[in-house]
Amino acid sequence: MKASGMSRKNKWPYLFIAPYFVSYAVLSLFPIVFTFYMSLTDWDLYGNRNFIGLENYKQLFFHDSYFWKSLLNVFLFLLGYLPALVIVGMLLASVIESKLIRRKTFFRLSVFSAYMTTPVAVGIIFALFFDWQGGILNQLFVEIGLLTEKINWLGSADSARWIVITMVFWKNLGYFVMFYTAGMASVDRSIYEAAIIDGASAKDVFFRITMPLLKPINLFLIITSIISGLQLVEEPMLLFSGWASGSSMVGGPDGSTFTPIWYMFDASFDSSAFKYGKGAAIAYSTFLFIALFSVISIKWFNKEDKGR
Amino acid sequence: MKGLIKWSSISLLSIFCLIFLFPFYMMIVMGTYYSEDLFRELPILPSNYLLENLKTIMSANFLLNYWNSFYVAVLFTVLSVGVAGLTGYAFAKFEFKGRNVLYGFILATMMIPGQLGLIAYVMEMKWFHLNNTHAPLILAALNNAFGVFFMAQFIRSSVPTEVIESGRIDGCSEPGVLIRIVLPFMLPAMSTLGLISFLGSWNNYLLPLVTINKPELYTLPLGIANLSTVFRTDYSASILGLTLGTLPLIILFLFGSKTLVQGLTGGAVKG
Amino acid sequence: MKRTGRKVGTWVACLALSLMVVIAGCGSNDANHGTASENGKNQDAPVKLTAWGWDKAWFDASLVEFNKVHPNISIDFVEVSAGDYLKKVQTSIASGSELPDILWAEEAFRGAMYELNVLEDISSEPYNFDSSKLLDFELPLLTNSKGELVGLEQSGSPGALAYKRDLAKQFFGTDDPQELAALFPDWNAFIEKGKEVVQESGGKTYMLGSLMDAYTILSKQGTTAVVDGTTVNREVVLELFKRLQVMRDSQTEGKLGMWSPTWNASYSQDNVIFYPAANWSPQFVIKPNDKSSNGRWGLMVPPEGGYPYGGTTIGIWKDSKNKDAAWTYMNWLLASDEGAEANFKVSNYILPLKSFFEDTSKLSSGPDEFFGGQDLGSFWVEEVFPSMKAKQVTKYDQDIYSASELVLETMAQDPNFNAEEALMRWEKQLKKNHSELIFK
Repeated sequence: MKASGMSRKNKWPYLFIAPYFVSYAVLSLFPIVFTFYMSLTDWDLYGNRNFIGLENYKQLFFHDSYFWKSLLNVFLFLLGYLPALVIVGMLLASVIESKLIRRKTFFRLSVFSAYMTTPVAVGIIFALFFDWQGGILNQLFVEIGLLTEKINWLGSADSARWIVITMVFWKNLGYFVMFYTAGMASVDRSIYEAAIIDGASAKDVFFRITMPLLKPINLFLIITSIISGLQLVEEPMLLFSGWASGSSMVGGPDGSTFTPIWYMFDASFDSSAFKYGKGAAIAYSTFLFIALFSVISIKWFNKEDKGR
Repeated sequence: MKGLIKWSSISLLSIFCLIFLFPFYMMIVMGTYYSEDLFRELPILPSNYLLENLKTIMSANFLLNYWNSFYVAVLFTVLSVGVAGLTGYAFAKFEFKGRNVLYGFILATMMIPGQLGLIAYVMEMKWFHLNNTHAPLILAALNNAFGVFFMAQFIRSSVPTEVIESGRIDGCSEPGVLIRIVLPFMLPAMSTLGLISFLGSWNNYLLPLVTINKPELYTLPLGIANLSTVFRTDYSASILGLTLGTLPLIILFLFGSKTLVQGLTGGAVKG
Repeated sequence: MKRTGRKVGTWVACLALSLMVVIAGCGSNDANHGTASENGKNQDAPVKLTAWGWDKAWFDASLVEFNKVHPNISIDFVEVSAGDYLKKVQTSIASGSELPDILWAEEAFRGAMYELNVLEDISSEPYNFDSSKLLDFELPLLTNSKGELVGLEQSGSPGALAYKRDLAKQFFGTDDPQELAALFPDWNAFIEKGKEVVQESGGKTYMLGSLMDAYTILSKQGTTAVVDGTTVNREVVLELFKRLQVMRDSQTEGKLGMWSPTWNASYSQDNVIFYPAANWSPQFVIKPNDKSSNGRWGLMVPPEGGYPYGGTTIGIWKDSKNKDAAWTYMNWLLASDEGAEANFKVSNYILPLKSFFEDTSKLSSGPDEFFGGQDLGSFWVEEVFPSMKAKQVTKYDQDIYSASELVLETMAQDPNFNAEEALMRWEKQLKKNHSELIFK
């Protein structure tokens, strides 16, 4: 009797994960392995396809300033928007989900709307705002006397980086709020009510109850943000590859918004170099950094847990 | 005093949300403009070109592309949420041999930038004779590592193990426990993941671009891309088409939000 | 317990079913596709070709004309936007998937497309196309680095200069295209006049919108290619950048950023006089951007002559199973006089064939109100085509263009950024993905 109970218990988790891993073996394993193999070749579409060992990686790590700069950029971006997203996202979610607010759906939807705005429209809106000669921001600032001369926002390295950070923040805040909302919704309301009856202030509730409860969600959001942050490509490309805002500037002014994945696209898909080997090597090199920083932050999270 | 705090926080929140809503609003308004007029002044008030733009997108097989995108996105979402929910549940609430290794593997695969894997994926699809169908787009849902991670994290924190145990003691089979007891707790997470998956499938561009060579199988973004010629991009019509594309999402959001995020959980806890 | 078990069962069945529907649905689709390319060995039997392209209006209309002569050949047209075209083609090549029988290549990426080794050489067996039938300047635009002729033009794309008549009259005293062309025999004259314009208008009006506008024309005039094999001709580039620097320093350009919102809006305003324009510009750029005006625009031959601007070539896939039929289509539509006439009839496209240019009177398009009564057809054929020259296309063209865009943005913004620095940064940018290039 007991034995059958055990075997029943043992069989089920494997059955539950089977669809994922079986389909993984059939569909997704090969692309990953093949891409890694690609990174060891000099494959381009002009006839080269030779095995060259770690040559691509050597080039990237020791002779390629673009690669290092692109990595630096994504780290700067991440530092710029991730803390803001976590803090503002949590606050906003807890305000929206609190008793103060009636029409929660409206507020959730309006914050999330940024995530649903189509890239073409976003590209045009940002171009209309930040354009050098005719942009609304410059016109406004000159009119009210804040500026004497128009600033080329998208043309200088620092402001270009800030615009990318703003864009990512604006787009992803709703996404963060959604996940926090899901986390909060599953918390038993009575915990909050009990705390309020006990005389806890809103601040106490937030720091003592909400934050700890959201910890697993935060781990998830921060890890996935590191992953997607280092793989960032859409926003800077939208601003600078020209299909929405005029001329293209691969990597932005001074390469200040170049990202590893943009570089990968640039090397293998977008330019006429078609260097698949190099592109694959960029992908796997970026993976190394993502793994490193994800492991560090997971460790950090777990340490905090123990310290508590 | 309390009222003051309440009203100031509400109005602050409202202002904040309006700022966030503004670009979305602009996007809707942009669909009513003549494309080149977008650049003439800030498109804030609706213009008079909506019908023309509608005509333009209708001439480009809009309804068929819309339907293709829609049913692909629905199947994608169902598959993605289903598989991720099952897998995440197993990792969050079971002890089994190889658990940590397999979970670590899922996390690691999530970290590999997958865009170049596209080439190999297209090769596979060729071997399975699935190119030029919607299958490559839908099958991609099966390996949503991100979804598994989210589900596992969520279930770990939000589904009490005692409830599961009591279900087992009551004599439920494991699938029974999952469906009857755990599922209600998972609904908020599933709806969030569902929304994100739906949006991801809906906006997917590169994969359909390289796997589909038949106009009648085109998804909405591909159809919209063909509105533009080399020389002139009809931004307004494109934006209108893509805005209409977000319609099912907004409906999902408006009707799903309240029921899924709160209603069912409350019910589940009490029941 | 049994009930829940059944529930799960249904759930799993649902999933499986939906999957099967998809896969089954696909199976039948695939079968259709397979049979399509089987037929077509026999000349008169019906043949079905596929083509990928973007200009559907032209394709459909010209196919109707073609089918009047060759009713047995039908063509499935798959719309792929020009911006995505190369991406789709290259992933198909990389993954070993099939390409269509007929491939298109736009100006921006045709150089790269030619080198991918997927297009037939139509000057050799069995096609033996006689390249002397083409206008002389065309050849470098249609051949790859091995000297193979791999495509034919859908239309010649003559580049000229569009101008606003009212502003021309105000600043130069005339709006006549001939007189204006005489006023600006070379770019120096153009730059000199530009200084006066800026002064007279109080810095409100400029000759050109941006440095890229100037680059678009200057980089395409002449016959010396920037890259020969893998050697980059630094001198040509430096010369070009120096000229552009002079233009910046003397305020010939208005720093608008070509194709930006402000640049588009300037068509209906008074801040810019001239724009680069090809035969597709009136319909796709000028009229849409200034739709409420009438008679405000004119076209003239630019300083130092016409240049190729835009344009699409069409070629045959090397591994196509229906090369004969594909060639029949191309040869009739793009290389015969009947085809040229059909082309002109359906879209006003002008094939660059010598025989077609013998009698240019039929190419008149009549006075155009929007352009102050100018006859655009005659203008292109009689004034621009004869002055056109072209450079050899290379696989680097696209990347050269984007590297130039990048450095010219900096040049426009930073008054201390000179041509030498621009060249250095340009080189670095090109070397990023093309380490094989040698700069001399």
